[in-house]
Amino acid sequence: MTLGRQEGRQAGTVADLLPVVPVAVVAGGGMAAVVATSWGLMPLYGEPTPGADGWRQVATDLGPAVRETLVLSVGATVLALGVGLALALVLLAGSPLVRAATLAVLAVPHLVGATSVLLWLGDGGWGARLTGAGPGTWPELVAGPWPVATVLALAWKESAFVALVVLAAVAPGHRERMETAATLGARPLQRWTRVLVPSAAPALAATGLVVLVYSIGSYEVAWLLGRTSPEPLPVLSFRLFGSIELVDRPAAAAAAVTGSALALGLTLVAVAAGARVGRTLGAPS
Amino acid sequence: MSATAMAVRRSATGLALLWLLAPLLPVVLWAVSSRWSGRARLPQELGLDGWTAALDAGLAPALVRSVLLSLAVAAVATPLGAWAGRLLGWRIAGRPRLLA
Repeated sequence: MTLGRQEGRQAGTVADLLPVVPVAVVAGGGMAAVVATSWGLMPLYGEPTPGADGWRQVATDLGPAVRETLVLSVGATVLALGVGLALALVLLAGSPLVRAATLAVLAVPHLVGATSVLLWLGDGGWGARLTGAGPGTWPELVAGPWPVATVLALAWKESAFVALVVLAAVAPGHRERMETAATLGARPLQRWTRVLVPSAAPALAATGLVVLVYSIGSYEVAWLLGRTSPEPLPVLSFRLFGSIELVDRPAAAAAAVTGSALALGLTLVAVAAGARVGRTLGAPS
Repeated sequence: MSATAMAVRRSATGLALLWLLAPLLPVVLWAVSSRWSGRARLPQELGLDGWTAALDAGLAPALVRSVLLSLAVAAVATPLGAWAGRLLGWRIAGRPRLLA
C-alpha cells in the first residue's frame, strides 16, 4: 500500500468519526455531570461533598421504580411489535389510507396522544360516557395498579414507527420471495413463518430495542397516565429534580443514572444476543 | 382475489385504521366543542371557543417557535444521523444491517 493511500484512509477514518464528537460531547458530558451530581460532586451551590447521600435518599424508591419502568416499557414494546408487524402487513398489501394514517400517528406528539388516551380511558372519559358506566364503576385504566393506559399510549405511537421500519426492510423483493416460495410448494402459513417473519426479524429486533429504550426513558406519557406511587424512573427523577429542596438533586441524579444504566445494560445484552444469533444463522451447517 | 381474501383484507384495513385513528378522536372532538359536560355521549354544543382561548394564550407564536425548533433539529440531526449510520453500518459492521 502506498503512503498516499494510507494517508487517504486515515483521513477517511477521521472524517467518519466526526459525527461521534457531538454525541460524545452532549451525551457523554451530560451523563458525566449526572453521575457526578449523584455522588455529590456537583452541588447546585457550595463546596462539593462527595458521598452516597443521594443514593441513600432514593434507595427505597429505586426497586419499585425499576419494576414499574420495566412493566410499562416491556409491555409497550411487545404490543408495539405485534401491532407494528400487523400494520406492516396491511401496508405491504398497499393501502394508501393506512399509510397516511400511519404517517399521521408518527407526526402527533406523544403528549397529545397521551392526552387523547386520557380523554378516552380516564374516569369520566369518552369510553365511560359511551358505555354508560356509572361513577366508580369504570376500571382503573388510568393511574391504576397496572399501567394499562401508559402501555396503550406508548404502543399506539411506537407501532407506527415499527410498521414503517419493517415495511422498509421487507418490501424490496417481498412479492418475488413469496411467489418463489409458493412455486416451491409452500402453503400460506409456511410462507409467513419461513419467508415473511425471517425477513422482518432483523427490523423487528432493532425497532424493539429502540422502543424499549425509548419507553424506559419516556417521561410525559407515564407522568400523565401513570399512578403516583410507585413512579417509573424518569417521573421519579424529574419530580426530585424539580423539588424545592435543593438537596434532592443528587437523589434525582441517582434515579436518572439508574434509568440510564438499565437502558444501556439492556442495549448491550440485546446487541450481544443479536450478534450471537447472526453468527449462528450465518454459520455453515 | 377470492371473496374471502377480499373480506379479510378489508377487515384488516378497517382494524388498522381503527387502531391508528380512534385514539385521536376525543382530542379532536374536544377541540371543536364549546360545551360537553356531565356524562353526555357527544358534545352538547359545537364551536371554536377552545381555539379562540388558545389563540389568546399565544398559540400563533408557540406554533412559529415549534416549527423553527423542529427545522433546526432536523437540519442538524439528519446529516449527523446519516453520517453516523454510514459509520455504524459500513465501517464498523462491514455491511449495512440493522442489528443481527
